[in-house]
Amino acid sequence: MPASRAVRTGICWVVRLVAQLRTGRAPTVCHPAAVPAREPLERAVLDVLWQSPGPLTAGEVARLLAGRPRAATTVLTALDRLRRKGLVVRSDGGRPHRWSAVGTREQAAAGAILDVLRDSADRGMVLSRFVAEADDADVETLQRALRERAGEDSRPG
Amino acid sequence: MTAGWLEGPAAADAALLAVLLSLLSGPVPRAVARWSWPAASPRQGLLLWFALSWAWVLSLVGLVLAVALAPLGRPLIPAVVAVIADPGALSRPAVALAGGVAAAAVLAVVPVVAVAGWLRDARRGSRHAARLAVVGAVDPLLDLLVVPGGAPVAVTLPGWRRCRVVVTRACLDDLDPAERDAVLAHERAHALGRHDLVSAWFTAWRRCAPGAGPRAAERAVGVLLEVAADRAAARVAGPAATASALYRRCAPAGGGWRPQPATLARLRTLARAGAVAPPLVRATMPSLAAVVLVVPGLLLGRA
Repeated sequence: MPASRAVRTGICWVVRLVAQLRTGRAPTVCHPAAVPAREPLERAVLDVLWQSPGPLTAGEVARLLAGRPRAATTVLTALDRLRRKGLVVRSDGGRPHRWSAVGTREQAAAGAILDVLRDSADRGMVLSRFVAEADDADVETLQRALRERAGEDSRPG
Repeated sequence: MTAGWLEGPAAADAALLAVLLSLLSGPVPRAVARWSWPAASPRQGLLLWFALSWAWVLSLVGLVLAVALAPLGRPLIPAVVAVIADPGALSRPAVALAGGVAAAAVLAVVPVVAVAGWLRDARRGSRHAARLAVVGAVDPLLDLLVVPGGAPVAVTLPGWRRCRVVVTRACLDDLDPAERDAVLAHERAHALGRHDLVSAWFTAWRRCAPGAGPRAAERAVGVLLEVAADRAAARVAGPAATASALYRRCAPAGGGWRPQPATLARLRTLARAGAVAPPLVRATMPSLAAVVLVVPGLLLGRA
């Protein structure tokens, strides 16, 4: 009978909605499509800077970029965003400015994770980790790795 | 003005609410925090805690209203209804208006502080996530952000639309597969369950309310959220792997481990994992939540 079928369809719809609300909130945590389009460019620019032995101008970075060619102004915008994130520094000399990455990829990553742990410890940012007691040991490990790496970089030759 | 202001039913209501407020600021939350039943059923436990915090807010609101509407000489809820129905019958309308505004402010303070705290944390978390996303890479299969690093760190960063799970390379490479699955499932449970919203509420209650009760509540809710995430991890990797991952992370290599109470509670709950909480446990906490909210309302609504 049509009435019972309508009732059954309605019940199925409600059940599906409830199930979706219970489990379907943000089904993926780091959905690739949710990554803003700027990140791949910033990562490519950082790769170029990490691989180059010395500071580069925006134009040189644009020429060395892998993938599709980008205008120097686009690269400059990305470099500025990276500077605000604390991942690159700009030389103080005259134009054209030269840019260099702050440390290696591992150092930048260790510094970023250390900042997260410190933000949670000092400024009370709510951070979930598996075991909160292990934070001190992790901070120690990361700081030691940074010091060793800095020691290697400063050795002559 | 004060002599003869607060008497009769208004005095009784104010006294009841003051007693309720002092119980909810101290003894009751501390007792519930020491209770082991919430850990057996974290969702119901969180419901009970939520009810206790709202009972505190509503008691304070009621106390303000009881004092402001005292001249009406009626119990609280009938007095409020009478004022709404016929505002002209008030002998001192200015006091009642001031009381109403104060009550609305008290009602709003904890939610506003909670939202403000959550927004601030979400902004900080987004900034960290933006930096980490450039240094590392999103792994679409594992559905998390992987950054290079020598320490096995796995964290869930707060954010607006989603919480991002960030792990270091060492966490993926250095752990046993089962333990690694447990750790990742634990963090994922925090992210998908939006536990940052829950902690924001109880942190706001602790900030706005004096007393040891709200502090105990914040700590107990933190433990409950970890227990809930551990249950999700145990469903994926098994309680043994989760417990061993927990133990190996916090026990120092040289021995002499002094575990924190939260970690002990988590290990104890994992040891009992698989045992479904009896219906009595699962029914008691929502019932208590209902009692704590409904019974004062009934008493205040007596004709």
